[in-house]
Amino acid sequence: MSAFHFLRALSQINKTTPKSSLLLRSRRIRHAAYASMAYTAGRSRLWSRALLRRLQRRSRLRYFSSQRTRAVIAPRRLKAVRPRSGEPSRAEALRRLVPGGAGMDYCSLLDETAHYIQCLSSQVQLMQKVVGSISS
Amino acid sequence: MEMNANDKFGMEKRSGVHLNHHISGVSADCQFGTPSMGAVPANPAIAMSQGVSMISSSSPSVPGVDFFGPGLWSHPANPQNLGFSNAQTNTGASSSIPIGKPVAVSSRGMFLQAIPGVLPPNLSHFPADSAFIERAARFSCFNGGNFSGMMNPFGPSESLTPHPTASRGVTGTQGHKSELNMTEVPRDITVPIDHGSSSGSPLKNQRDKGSYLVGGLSNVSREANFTEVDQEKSTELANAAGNSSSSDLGSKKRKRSNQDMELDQVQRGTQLSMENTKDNAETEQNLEQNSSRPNGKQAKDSTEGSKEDYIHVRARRGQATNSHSLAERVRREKISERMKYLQDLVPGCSKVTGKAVMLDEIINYVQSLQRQVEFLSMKLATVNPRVDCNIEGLLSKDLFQFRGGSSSMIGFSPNMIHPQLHPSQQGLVQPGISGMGSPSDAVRRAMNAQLTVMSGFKEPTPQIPNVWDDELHNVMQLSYSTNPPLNTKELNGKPRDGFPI
Repeated sequence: MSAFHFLRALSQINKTTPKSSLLLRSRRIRHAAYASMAYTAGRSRLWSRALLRRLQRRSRLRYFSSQRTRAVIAPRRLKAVRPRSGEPSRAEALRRLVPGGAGMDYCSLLDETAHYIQCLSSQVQLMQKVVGSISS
Repeated sequence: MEMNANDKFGMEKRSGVHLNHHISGVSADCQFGTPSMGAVPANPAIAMSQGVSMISSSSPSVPGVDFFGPGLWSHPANPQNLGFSNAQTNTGASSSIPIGKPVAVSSRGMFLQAIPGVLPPNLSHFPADSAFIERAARFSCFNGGNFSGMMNPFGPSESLTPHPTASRGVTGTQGHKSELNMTEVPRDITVPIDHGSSSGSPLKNQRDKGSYLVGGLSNVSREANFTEVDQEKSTELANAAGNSSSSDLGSKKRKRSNQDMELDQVQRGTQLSMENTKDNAETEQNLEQNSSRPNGKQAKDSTEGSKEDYIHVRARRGQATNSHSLAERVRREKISERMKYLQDLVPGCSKVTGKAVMLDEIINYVQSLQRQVEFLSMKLATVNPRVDCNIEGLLSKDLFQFRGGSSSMIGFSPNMIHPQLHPSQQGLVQPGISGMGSPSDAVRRAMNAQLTVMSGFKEPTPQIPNVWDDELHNVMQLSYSTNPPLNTKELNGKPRDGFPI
């Protein structure tokens, strides 16, 4: 299912974006990859919800934003992930990595991380297969 | 209330009847010791009577103990096999002794019954099989054996030996169960007594009962008793402690899934059965050993007491009864369980030990995956222009197996796709949307490699609400719609949070 979504998005991107803007294309493809991954994961996961929210926000801002708004959102200031008690120090880094990780307790963070890793690895495999089939 | 031996015996039978009714669902291959019932030794009977009186007088909030006390001890159950079927036949002749807590029995019985039905699927490390369930079911009815040998100096709950890890280490179900039983039962007994009465002899009787329970109970009886008493005990603990921490626990525990609940129950059950298998002397020795040999994890928990969970987590021996430490321990166990799962997930982490190193490995792995996604998207961006049609071909090829015109597939609106994708994700095909259902199947088959990974996700795929569709529709459209050209500033702005978007 994620493959279907991703391929569809990919084809759309190929059709719509100019070939010259490589950066734009790569960003859009990455956006599509994460979107299809989050969609496949479903709403039951914290990270997928947070991921979709983030993608929507960025896309909407990007799409509807004026020059000024884009200037505002571009310097993305990360809200400081304050170190929490009762958990390892490295948990902060993990929270930054996993979407939506800042709002979770450590226990659910590990849970979400596990699922996120699964989805990420499957998405990577899918993309590798697509690249392989396209290049060959 | 003093009850003579006959009354007690009848009560036991009655309890056996009640239990049998509830546990009849469980396959009962144990033979109820009918002759053993008749041969109730005088000592246990006396002790039981005292204990019964004790229990009944100790705390009204622990009806389970009341009910099961005599039932548990009056039956000199075979160490391994106690049959409910026999119990049923036996109980037919039982007199109607007003033990007086049919409601409690039913609740307990149902509680017991719930156990077999709700085994968590991922309890691979527990012997949570049907045999276990049977034992758990039988446990409630049977008790007996030579408790006199189990006159352990069961001190207050704090003196309970911590042996959670030890119990877990034992792969045998018996060991687990009995060990847990050792810790749990005395805990159960002492708690009501502490609350109920302060006299020395009752306390001793309770302890004797505890020892009886620990020493001679079969796996089933112990487990059942444990579960039953656990319910009562937890209520009692909550009442007695009067802690606000119970509410904290509740709030914490409410997060726990049913799986965790079952996990705890099964844990306790396994530990109980583990104890049961050992004979009295051995269990005594184990208890002593456990108390003297705290594990690293248990050393911290040595001050902790009974686990209290709104699912009635039982404290291990030697652990403090503080509800905070209880919740903390539950949390720790959850974390370690998840770390183990992550260890399996991250390649090359099997030999890594320790949470810190493991965390670093996980972080590195997530970062590497995200970098890979970024790299592959860049690669796709460069490769794609040459093979514009190939992507459509890939897509349509799968869809084309059931549909004509690939372009028609590609042009499907996301809203049409989404309902299909839901069923496909769940392995179902909505008959209502026949057109879309086939492509989903085709895609699934074609992209089996990717989909197998998705299907391997452990959490169940819930129904995605329609709002999800709209959201994704927006996202997907925005992702490949003609956006205004991004200024260089935005493009150069790297996500500082590490999220590659």
